[in-house]
Amino acid sequence: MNKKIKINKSVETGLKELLISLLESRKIKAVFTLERNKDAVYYSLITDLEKVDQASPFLPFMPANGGKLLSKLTDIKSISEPIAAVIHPCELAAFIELIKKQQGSLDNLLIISSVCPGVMPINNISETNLDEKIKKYFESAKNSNIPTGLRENCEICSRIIPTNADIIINLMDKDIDNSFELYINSEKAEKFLGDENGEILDSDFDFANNTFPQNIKDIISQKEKNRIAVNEKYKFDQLGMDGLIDLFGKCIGCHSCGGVCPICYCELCDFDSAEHEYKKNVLKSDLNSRAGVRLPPNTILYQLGRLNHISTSCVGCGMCTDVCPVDIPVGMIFSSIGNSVQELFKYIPGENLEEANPITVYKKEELTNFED
Amino acid sequence: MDGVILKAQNNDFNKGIKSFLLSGLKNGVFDSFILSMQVPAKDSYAWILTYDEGLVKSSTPISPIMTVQGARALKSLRTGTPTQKIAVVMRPCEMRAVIELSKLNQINLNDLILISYDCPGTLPIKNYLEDPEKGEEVFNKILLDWDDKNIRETCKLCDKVSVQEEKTFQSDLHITTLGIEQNNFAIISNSEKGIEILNELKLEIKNLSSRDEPVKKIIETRRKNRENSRKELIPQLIGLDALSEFFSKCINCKVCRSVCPICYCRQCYFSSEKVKYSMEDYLLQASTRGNMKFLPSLLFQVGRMTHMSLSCVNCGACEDACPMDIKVGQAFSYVGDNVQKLFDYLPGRSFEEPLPLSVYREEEFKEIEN
Repeated sequence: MNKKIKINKSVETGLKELLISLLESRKIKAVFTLERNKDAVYYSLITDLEKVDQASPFLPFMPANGGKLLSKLTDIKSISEPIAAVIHPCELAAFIELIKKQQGSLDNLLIISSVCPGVMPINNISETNLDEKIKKYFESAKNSNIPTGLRENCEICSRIIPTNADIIINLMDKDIDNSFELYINSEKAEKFLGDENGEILDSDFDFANNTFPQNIKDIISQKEKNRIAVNEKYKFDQLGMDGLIDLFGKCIGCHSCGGVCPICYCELCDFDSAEHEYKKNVLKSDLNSRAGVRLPPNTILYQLGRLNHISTSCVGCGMCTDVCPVDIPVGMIFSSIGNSVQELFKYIPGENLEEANPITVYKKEELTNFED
Repeated sequence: MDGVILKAQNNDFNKGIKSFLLSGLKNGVFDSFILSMQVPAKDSYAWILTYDEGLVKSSTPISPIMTVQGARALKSLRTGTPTQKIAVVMRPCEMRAVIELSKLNQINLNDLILISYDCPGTLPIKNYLEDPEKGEEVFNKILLDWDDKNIRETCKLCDKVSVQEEKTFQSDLHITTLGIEQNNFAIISNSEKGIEILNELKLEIKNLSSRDEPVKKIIETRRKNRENSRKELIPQLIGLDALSEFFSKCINCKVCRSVCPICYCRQCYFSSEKVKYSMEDYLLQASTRGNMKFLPSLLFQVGRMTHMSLSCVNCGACEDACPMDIKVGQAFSYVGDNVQKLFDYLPGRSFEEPLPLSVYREEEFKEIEN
């Protein structure tokens, strides 16, 4: 039977009190969570329990993919003293993908995550009526509606359950302002939580094994419908070369999409390496065959190449779209094509730490339908 | 200043410039071109290297937005150019960055003929993308009236818009429209190479004193703009607290660096192993104040400033690309101006002027000693 703790506080206050008690009892050394200061939002590493109050763990923003940041915290060596991290499901999924690529470790990390209503585009943080918008966001989530004004990627994201989190909080619950439940989703979590945090009860739900409230199921199926509608709108699979040129024609080759992508972890991207520098003889023959070449070259090659490199692991977080200076819907392209590739391999990034990334595995009888 | 006067019917400067370029192609002074050109979807511009007459005709040498800073485009020819007389038409700030990158051995100027033009500024990329057709309309008007209402903030503060007796930027030829009679534009030689080209083309050199006043006037306006805007900016930058606050929104995406023409390093120090720390180091840092922004971004911003501010040409590409609307271009331009003044150096002013950090002078900055 799965366990839970019911806390009779608003979800933000309750979580902060839990974090403070974990810090106080020295069960954890620090908290990794979102903080907001005026029109700045960022992940913060908090060691002082008095600073926990400044945190905004459920602020609907993603200034950087938290999975990428946790990888930076843990890739040199796994951490020696426990830290609690409050992150979104796609950030956890990205982190698990990175761990499979030997870029981090879950050791000593207590992952707290929520059934995620989505986040807003990062530049909305400066909007004057932001507090009003955030209020509406939580109001929608509470009433099991998809909030408006989300990242386009969040509108089509059905992977809203943080299956691998140690502690799961359901933000799509109508009582959230007065009480909420901490779902204990791992043995690790059991070690951190005790009676001092509240009475440990049996839970009707087992989030990791697809047993959860009907309202969440409804939202997931709505989002799956949204994804189909969006695929019909963009028709990425029918672009052809001309369509690709139209879509990526604006690309200025800044590679910021790769820079913020949690899956693009290479210190020096292949497409920024000397290997890809435009060689004089290549340039000459390109110029002869086409009469004109674009400088810098290979903007579309970069996009397609990156797509090749990351599509099995793309978690659809939408960071890339948020930073694109020329408003290309990069995240939608990568998420849509990523989803198709993942379906082919029956692979869901971040779902299972033990499951190898399909491109690292050789199966003799795989995808034979693509032969010839 | 002297120069040759050419026709631009209906004040279509782009058309006039293209006729000049093609006449140069016919006369053999140019053999290919690097020009700005609308992309097929007609929603942006890209740099194109071509020798094809048709492509030149469909190019837009003076374009409404700076998508890729021109120097970054030229940098992709680092391993060599396929032709020897490439006419490159770019804005003054792009030329200045080209000169800086040539000093940093990232661009070889031998095969290039640098042609700058009177630049009224460019539109913010995002504004243009919202409605490219309207952007075209707005910019065509700006080309004639030089109204600065719709141009980027960093362009409003730029005083290096045209050539004057006192040299502020280097190119080979400069195209000028300010103070030239309607339906005409003029070309001024701005280097030895430029003089040779105009001689070769056997064009009649005339006195262009009519442009002195209008050029002076626009430069004065821009300087006044800068003075006024800095009154607001400076207090936001002085002191560590102010600086932290100024960059607090930074999400570490480093797009400012990616689009910067001067930041040419393949592997930036701030993305290298050198700045990787273990959790223990981070926890130690965090525990001094009780919390810390992760990842911290101020060191990157200040570090980048230290690395490139002597060569910063205030092109504003960083500010245009910043997803968080931080006035990063204005901050770098302010710091750059001050550092450059210290060394009496102006990036892109001349081919010859060496980078101050590459020169050792025994008697420098005595006043900072001890």
